[in-house]
Amino acid sequence: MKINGFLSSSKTVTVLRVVVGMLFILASYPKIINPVHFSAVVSEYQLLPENIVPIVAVILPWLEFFCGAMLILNVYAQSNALILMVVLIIFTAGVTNNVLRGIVHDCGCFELLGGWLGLQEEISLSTIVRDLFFMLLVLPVLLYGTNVFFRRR
Amino acid sequence: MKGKGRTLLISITITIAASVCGILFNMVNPNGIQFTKGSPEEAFYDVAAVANENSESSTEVQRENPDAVPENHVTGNRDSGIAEQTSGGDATVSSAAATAEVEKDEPPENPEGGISSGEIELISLSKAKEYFDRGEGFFVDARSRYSYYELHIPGAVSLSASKFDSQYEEFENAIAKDALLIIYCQSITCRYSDVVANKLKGLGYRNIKIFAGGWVEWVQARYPVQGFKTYS
Repeated sequence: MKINGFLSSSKTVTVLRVVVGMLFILASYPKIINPVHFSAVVSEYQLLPENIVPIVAVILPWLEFFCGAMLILNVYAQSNALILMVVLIIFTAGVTNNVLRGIVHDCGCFELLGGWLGLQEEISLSTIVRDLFFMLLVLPVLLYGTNVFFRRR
Repeated sequence: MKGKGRTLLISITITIAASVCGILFNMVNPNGIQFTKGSPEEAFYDVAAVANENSESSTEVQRENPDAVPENHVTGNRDSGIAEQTSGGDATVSSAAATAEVEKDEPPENPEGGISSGEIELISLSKAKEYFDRGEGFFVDARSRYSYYELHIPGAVSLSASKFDSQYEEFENAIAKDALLIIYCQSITCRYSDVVANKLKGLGYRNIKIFAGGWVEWVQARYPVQGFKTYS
C-alpha cells in the first residue's frame, strides 16, 4: 500500500517522466541522424521483412524522440507512456527471441552512450533485464500520469 | 473506458505524427534512406539492362559515386590473404600475408572501355564466380555476422554494415587498400553492400566491386558455400 502511494505520488511520476523522457531522447538521437546504420541493425534482428526494415528505421527513432520530449513536457504523458510501453514490449520480445536463437548482434539501443563510453552494446540477457527495468519505470507514468495537453493546476 | 479510448486515440495520433515527421526528415537528411532506390523491380532492371548491353564482353555495370578516388587495377589473392573465419569464433581476419598484386599501369576493367574512377562497379553472378574461380580479390560479406557464420561464400570476410566500426580495424590490418574487394549482402534489394562499399571507399579502398545479386543469387546457382549451418 505504501509502495502504491509512493508510485502514484506526483513527485515520483514527475521524476520518472523526466528520466524516461531523457533516456528515450538520448536513444533516438543517433538513429535519427543515421537511419541507414539503424536499418542495418534492425535487419540483423531478422524479424521483419526486408522491405519494412527501412520504414521502421526511419519512424521508430522519431517515435522515441516525440514520446521522450512529450513526457518531459508532460504533454499527454499517459498516451506517450502507452506508446513507450508497447515499444519496450516489442524490443524485449525481439531481443529475447534473438538471444534464445543464439543470434548476437548490436542492440541498436543507446548508440550515443556507446560512442561516448566506447561501448558497442550487443544484445544479451542484460539487455532484456534492462528493458524490463525500463518498463517498470514507464508503468507508474502510464497508470498515474496525466493525459492532458497541459496540466491544469 | 472513455478515458482509455481517449488515451489510445491520442497514442495513435502521436504515432502518426511521429511517422510523418520521420519520413519528412528522412527526405532532407543527407544520411537518409532512399526508399525508391532499392525496389526489387528497379534494381533488377538497372542491372539487367546494362548487363544485356555488355553481354558480349562483360556483365559489369556501374553505379555513380560522388566520392571519386583514382583507381588502379588490383589483383588480390584471396587464398593467401585471409585466414578463413570459421564457425563459432570471433570475426577474425589474419593480419598475415594479405598480399595483393598491384598492377598500377593497367586500367580498371570497364565494360565501356573507359576509366571507372569514382564509381563503384556492380558485377553479375557470372563475373563474381569468375573472380571466385580465379581466386582473385577478397569477397566481403556485408550481412550480419550471424548470417556470415551460418553460411557464406568460401573465403569471404565478414564486414557487417551494422558492426562496421568494430570490425574495420581487423579488416584494415588484413587487407591492403589497393586489394580488389567484391562486396555482397543478402540479395539485389539489399542496401548494405552499398553502405559498406561507400564507407570503404571513403577510407581509401580503391578497387571495390559490388556483387549485386548477393547471397541469394549465389545460393540459387548452387555455388560453393561454407559455414556451420548444415542441411540434413
